Amino acid sequence: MIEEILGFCFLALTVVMLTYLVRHYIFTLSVLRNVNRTKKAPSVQNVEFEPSVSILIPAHNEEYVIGRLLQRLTELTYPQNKLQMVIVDDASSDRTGKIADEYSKSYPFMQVVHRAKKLGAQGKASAMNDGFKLVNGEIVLCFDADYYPQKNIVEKLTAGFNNPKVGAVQGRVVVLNEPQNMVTRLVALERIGGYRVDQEARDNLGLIAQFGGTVGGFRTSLLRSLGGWDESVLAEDTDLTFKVYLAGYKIRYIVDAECYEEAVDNWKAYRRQRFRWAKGHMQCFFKHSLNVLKSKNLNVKEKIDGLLLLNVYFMPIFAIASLIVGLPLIFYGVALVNTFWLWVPICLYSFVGNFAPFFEVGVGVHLDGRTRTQWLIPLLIVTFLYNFPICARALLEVAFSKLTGRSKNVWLKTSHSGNGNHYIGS
Amino acid sequence: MKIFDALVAILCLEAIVLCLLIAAFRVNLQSLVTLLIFNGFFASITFQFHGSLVKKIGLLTLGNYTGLFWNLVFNYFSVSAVQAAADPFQLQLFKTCYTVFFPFLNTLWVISFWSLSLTAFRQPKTTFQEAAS
Amino acid sequence: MVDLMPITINIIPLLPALITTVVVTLILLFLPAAIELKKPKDAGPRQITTNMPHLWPVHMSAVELEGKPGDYAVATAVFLSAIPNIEKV
Repeated sequence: MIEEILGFCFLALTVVMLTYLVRHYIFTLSVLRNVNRTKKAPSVQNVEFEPSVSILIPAHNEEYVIGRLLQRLTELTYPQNKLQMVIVDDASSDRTGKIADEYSKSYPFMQVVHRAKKLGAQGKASAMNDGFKLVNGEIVLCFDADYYPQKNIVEKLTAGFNNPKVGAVQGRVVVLNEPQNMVTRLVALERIGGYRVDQEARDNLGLIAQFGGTVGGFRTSLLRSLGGWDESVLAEDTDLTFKVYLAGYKIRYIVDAECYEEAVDNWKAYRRQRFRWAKGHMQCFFKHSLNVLKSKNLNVKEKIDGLLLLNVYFMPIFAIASLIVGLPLIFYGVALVNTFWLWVPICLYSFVGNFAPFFEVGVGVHLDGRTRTQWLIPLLIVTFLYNFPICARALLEVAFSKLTGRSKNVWLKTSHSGNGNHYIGS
Repeated sequence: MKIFDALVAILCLEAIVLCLLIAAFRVNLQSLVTLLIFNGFFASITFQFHGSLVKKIGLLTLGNYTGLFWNLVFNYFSVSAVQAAADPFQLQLFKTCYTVFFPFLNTLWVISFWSLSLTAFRQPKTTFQEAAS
Repeated sequence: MVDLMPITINIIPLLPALITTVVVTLILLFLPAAIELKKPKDAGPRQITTNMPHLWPVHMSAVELEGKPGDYAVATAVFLSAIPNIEKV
């Protein structure tokens, strides 16, 4: 009886892991197939469509980086009379507020919201909601304080809204401080795999393109109807992604709308960031899974991809679980597991796994025209192993909060040191 | 040159088949499966890159023999450990651990070899140029 | 269960040689990563805007190996690259 239960669990886990493998394989082939075709990118030549745009910038203790972003925003090619910028100084204890005030004095389209210490530092979602109250543009775009966009990024992102079915857009993130150390180089590899291949494939195939929280935006009216950012989840961007799709809209990913980010540069910050993403994603899983299954606004492939997206941070745990379940089965020579053909999916998953689909990263690096960066891909095994305890801890916390009914989100902010500044010339 | 390329390609294919046969009959069936999976991924993904067919098949052949060598070494290693096992329980435990970690061991050479082989291919500039704004 | 080769000879005396082979192979597999970390030639950042100082020459040629496998510095880099950097924040 126990053998049969364990065997069934083992088989189920194998099927799930194999599904992810197939999904990422299809993504990679999709991007490769489309690489030489002229993609139907939203046209930036349609100057008749020039909506008013509001840009939201939340900032908590970002004195080393915010000046660079604000300076860049004054250089945007989008007509300034159609731009509004709302900088949310989220109870900063450093010079972030003062830097923002200096810019707002010189540029009338920049407004600063100073949040008091009592109300502030409750997380990004809370800050965004405060800033959103002042937004009056038809489109609202979001940039984190450590980002540095292309000058024409607003045109590229807003072009996506030409289609009335598009409710949100997402651009590409490129790591600015990539050369800094091993951590930044590995994070850059992850970003390449995620943005150059994964997101683009989902856009190509009409699946769930994800809003990443920054370098993207929404129709203001839609965002208001959705109630803004949910402050009870850590991954408010994933939450909004599903809200947009459940409301009957789509998200477009625009691969050539690029923006630099300053990536985490040490393992502690990496761990905190990934923990926040993992826990937030898991919270979204519990919040949206049933809605995705029941929704009449999503087709079958969107539902399948949506569920796979919501479950992605459970994958390292599934991998551990399959090992734990498989060990006694193999040890006692259970016929189900001993059958040779069952090892095929295990082999398949194990060397592509959640660490990425290493072939996604490799293809992304190749399409970016880079070569020696490929040599670092084997080191992604390190980040994969590092993610095991992070995801396990996230699951424990989410499970604990679900069982006890006590839910407390601690927003551990990623610190930015401005190490990327010297890669940008004066 | 085209005839030469075709001959080289055929030679490489024969070498790959030989490698797979060696894996099947002289190592173990699981090694054969791993090599087949590697061939499948390599062919379906890397063959779409711009580059000569000879280069691609050459790298594929090299990959197969790297995998064969890897599995051969670990098989000898595991056999020696089995011979050194003191009792049936230790033997069974070792075989279990080896079975579980077998795919991970193959991960090491597959990922390393595949990513290194990509440096031999250059992506021509596409319609989306880097936007120097 | 993974099948083991039917070998009748005693492999145990060959154990040191096998271990050495495995270690050397692992080092060779991870050596390019160590070389690229120690002497980066494609460290980016990928250019998306102008006004960027050209920090690293980007080599688009085929595989070029630099540094000798026996270099102590390279071997150290291989070892260090395999462990997480436990820097204090």
